[in-house]
Amino acid sequence: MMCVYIYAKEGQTLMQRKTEMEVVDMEYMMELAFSGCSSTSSTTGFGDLAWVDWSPAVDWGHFSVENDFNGLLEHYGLPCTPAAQDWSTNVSPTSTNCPGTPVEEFQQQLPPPMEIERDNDRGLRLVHLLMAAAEALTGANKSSDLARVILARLRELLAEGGATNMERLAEHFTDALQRLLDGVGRHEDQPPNSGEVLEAFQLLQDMSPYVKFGHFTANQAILESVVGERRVHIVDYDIMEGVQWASLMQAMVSQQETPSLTPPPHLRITAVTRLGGSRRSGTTVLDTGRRLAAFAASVGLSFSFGQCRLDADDQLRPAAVKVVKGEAVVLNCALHPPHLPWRSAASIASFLGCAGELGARIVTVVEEAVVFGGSDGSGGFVGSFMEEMKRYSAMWDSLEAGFPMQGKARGVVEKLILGPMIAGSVGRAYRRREESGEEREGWAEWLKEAGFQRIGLSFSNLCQSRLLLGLFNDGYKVDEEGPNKLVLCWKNCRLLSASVWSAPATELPAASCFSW
Amino acid sequence: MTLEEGLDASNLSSHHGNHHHHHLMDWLEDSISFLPTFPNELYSVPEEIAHCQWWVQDQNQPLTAAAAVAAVAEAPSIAIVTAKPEPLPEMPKAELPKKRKLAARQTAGVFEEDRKPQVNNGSKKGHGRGSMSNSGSGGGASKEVRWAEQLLNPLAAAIDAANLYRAQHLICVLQELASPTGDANHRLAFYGLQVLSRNFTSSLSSPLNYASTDPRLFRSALIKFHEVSAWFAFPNCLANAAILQAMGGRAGPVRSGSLHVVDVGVSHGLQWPTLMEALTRRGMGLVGQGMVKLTVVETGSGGPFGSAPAGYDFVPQLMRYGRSIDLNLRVERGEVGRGPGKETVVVCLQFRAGRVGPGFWKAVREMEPDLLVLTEMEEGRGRGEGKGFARRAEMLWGFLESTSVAFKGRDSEERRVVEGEAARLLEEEGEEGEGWGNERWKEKMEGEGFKEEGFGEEAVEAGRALLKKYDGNWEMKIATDGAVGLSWKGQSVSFCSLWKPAYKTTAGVLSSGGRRH
Repeated sequence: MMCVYIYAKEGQTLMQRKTEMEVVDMEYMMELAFSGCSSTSSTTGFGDLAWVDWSPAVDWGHFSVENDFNGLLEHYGLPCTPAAQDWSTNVSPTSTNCPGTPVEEFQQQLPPPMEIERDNDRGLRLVHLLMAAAEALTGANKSSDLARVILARLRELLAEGGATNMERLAEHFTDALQRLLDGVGRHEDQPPNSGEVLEAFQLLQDMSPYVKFGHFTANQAILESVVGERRVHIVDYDIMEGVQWASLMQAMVSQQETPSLTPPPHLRITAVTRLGGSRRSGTTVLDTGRRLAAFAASVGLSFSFGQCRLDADDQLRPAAVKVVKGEAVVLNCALHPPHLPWRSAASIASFLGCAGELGARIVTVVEEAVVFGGSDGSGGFVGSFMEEMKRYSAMWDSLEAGFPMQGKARGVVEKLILGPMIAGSVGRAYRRREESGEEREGWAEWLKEAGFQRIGLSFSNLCQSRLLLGLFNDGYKVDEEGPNKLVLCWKNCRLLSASVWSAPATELPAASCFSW
Repeated sequence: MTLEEGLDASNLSSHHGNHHHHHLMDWLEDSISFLPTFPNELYSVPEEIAHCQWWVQDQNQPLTAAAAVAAVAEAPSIAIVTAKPEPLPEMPKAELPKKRKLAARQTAGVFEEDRKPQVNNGSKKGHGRGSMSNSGSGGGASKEVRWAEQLLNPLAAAIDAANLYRAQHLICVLQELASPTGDANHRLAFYGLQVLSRNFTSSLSSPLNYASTDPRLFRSALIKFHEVSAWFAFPNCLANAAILQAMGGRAGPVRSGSLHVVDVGVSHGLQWPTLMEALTRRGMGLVGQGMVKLTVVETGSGGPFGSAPAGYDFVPQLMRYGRSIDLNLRVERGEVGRGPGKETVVVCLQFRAGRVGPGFWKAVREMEPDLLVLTEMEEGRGRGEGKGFARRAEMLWGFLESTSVAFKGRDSEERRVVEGEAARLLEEEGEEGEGWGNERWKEKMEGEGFKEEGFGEEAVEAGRALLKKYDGNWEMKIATDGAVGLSWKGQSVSFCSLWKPAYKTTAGVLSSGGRRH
């Protein structure tokens, strides 16, 4: 709310008024949404704190990363202060804090039609070349000479072009194909989270619902499934900075405010980490634990943190996870958040496969909406490649549509987050030709085959997603796919999905379950 | 071999031949009144092909990245391989995708700029091209980089299968990589695209080639190409040597009498001064001692390298040159047919045999030539898998690559004309026989009642000597049956074989009996 007030002080522009009205609308909608629900299931993170972190009026000046957790979580927990922001150099002060720009201003920025035609034309040429290069890298007529020539031409075009959305996107895909051509290895060992990447990650969180969509949907499902539990144990496949759990903690604590409910449960988080994980990633997980603990203390939540390691072959054995009798076990698998190193399908399968033995009450999976190409003579690579182009172009467009004036911020996100993601996605699509069978389009399918049961998403969970998207551009929408799966889309393109499952019934109590 | 003959051989090959060469140049550079220079339009390459804008879209709206990707990806081009070949819908040209005129970019402008010395062509593609162009034109034994055919052949297949989306995609890609300058791949892409995209566009102007060029430039292109490339120089030299062989017999005495050469070739006169000079050196056809008659035949001249621009006529120059060296020469345009009286008749059928038509063979048989010289392109380049367009593209690749070396990678108008004409190799075959190699021609010739003759030592020597003048990648190969092949980088390019009628008609025996050895 603070943001909104500050805007008002600065003088009301059309957009600012609109922002304020959206806020009011949201309050109204929330009342509607939650009054209709049973009191027990409506306890979400929608407290006062939820306002600011959802406000699209992001604080652009605030992404220098402090080392402490609160700094990182600021966007979740604290009101943002509209500091002077320096991402965009040529916009008026009124537009800097607003996601949209007044219409008049925008129109002035429209390039003349000729230029548009040229840009459009260039965009198409780039896509054709990229597709041809992908084809040249595979298939019956595989020709690295041809691929090389096409990539060289792409570079020429990109060098002489401007920096339209399509051109910037094409550059990343060109780089990705170049890596394949040059035989550069997998992109999984990218430098661990440097401060810059973290900053960019925060920017992405602020600019799109891409990150929060998964967190919120999973968290809401978790909260609903552990109502009344004294102990909640979350086993998290890749905890990264643990951003997701801070918001869960807040939601748990906010339940207290409802007198009819029991006090918040004890929350235990087990981070699954890699055995071979470098010293740095090891310390990162511990740091994350410390930050989470500090944050839990600050909100008055009883909390403990532990980690368990994957095997040498990146597999998880159920025995590695210590489960205490009486606790509600949750498996959370947020696959490939933007700056996460890639994990093999076998590793993920081993993690999900533990659900039965660990007696998990709920399994939440957030994954990218990858589409495999058909059999086109290239082992499906060209088709998959084009699907990736579609998906990322949708993300590109969504960022631009939401934040047309924040070119520099978008540039940072594209370079540090999306670029490596593209390289990873293209590389996986390429290797899939050879390792067919190992991967599948979605883990939801795998879970279904493995006997997992769908857990229906609540109405409030769906409402929450819609509210979240309402804070961003109109182009976002959420699709319900079956009772237990939500898909985040930009226009008609699926970006990522969140689904909720329960473990298949096991006959024997897992050997690894013991009580202290 | 006599000393005199040895010299003749080297003269034929131009090996020695400054002296001879000067004559040739005299002849060629002789001032003739050409027609006024042609209007500029004739220089321009056909209007470029349809651009790939086949979605409906408001031109005033910027295309989002997703829309751009979708425009390409949503087209059913992914599933192309299995697409059933359905008959192309009768699509009026107007309904084909909007054409964008690239003409300005790739045609007139480029040619204009090319006249500037060695400025990388001003088109926006120029720069990278230059840097890439080293690969193909090194002329060494470096690995051959060939990519143009990997786009052109699928395009040809897509067009055959009436897969419009696939075709448009490939056209878009080829447009990006095609260039009439740059290495042989870029050129092949350019000419291949030009030919294949004819289905999609109505070209308003004609490509730059022999027929569309200015006679002056045409002549200078012929001379220049002859000078730097063995492509035509070698077969011409072999043919001339074979004619001398027919006149003189192997080591026998020089035969007196008249020589009648029937020119069914593509040298446009360029082949003959060398022969004329060699004849005078041997004392043949000199005024008072016989006569040399050259009949230039039009039959089958519509194919690649066969046409000449309007206004080009080499006959007066040949006559003038004949006079200057005291040769009793008569040149006429006419049909295949034996003149009255004793004469040694040689039919020179070079690179046109596939287009002469069935009547031609009958006429030749009736003419009962003493020798028929057959020169044709070799079939494919050894793999035998290339058919149709792929085979023709492979042939053009060989041409462009060898020409790139011949011109040392430099661009000139002459090179452009010759390459533009060579691009016609990609056109659909004319009649039965085009695209055959030595083997199939052999069958055909035997079926037509001819039997093969071998080349004499002298002729082979002349050919060998000539090749020394050219790039080391040219090689001469002598087949067991006697045909002499020319190859570039180990791949056969053309062959030359000698034929005689297998039997004589009664009339022929009566009329020429006793003249033969």
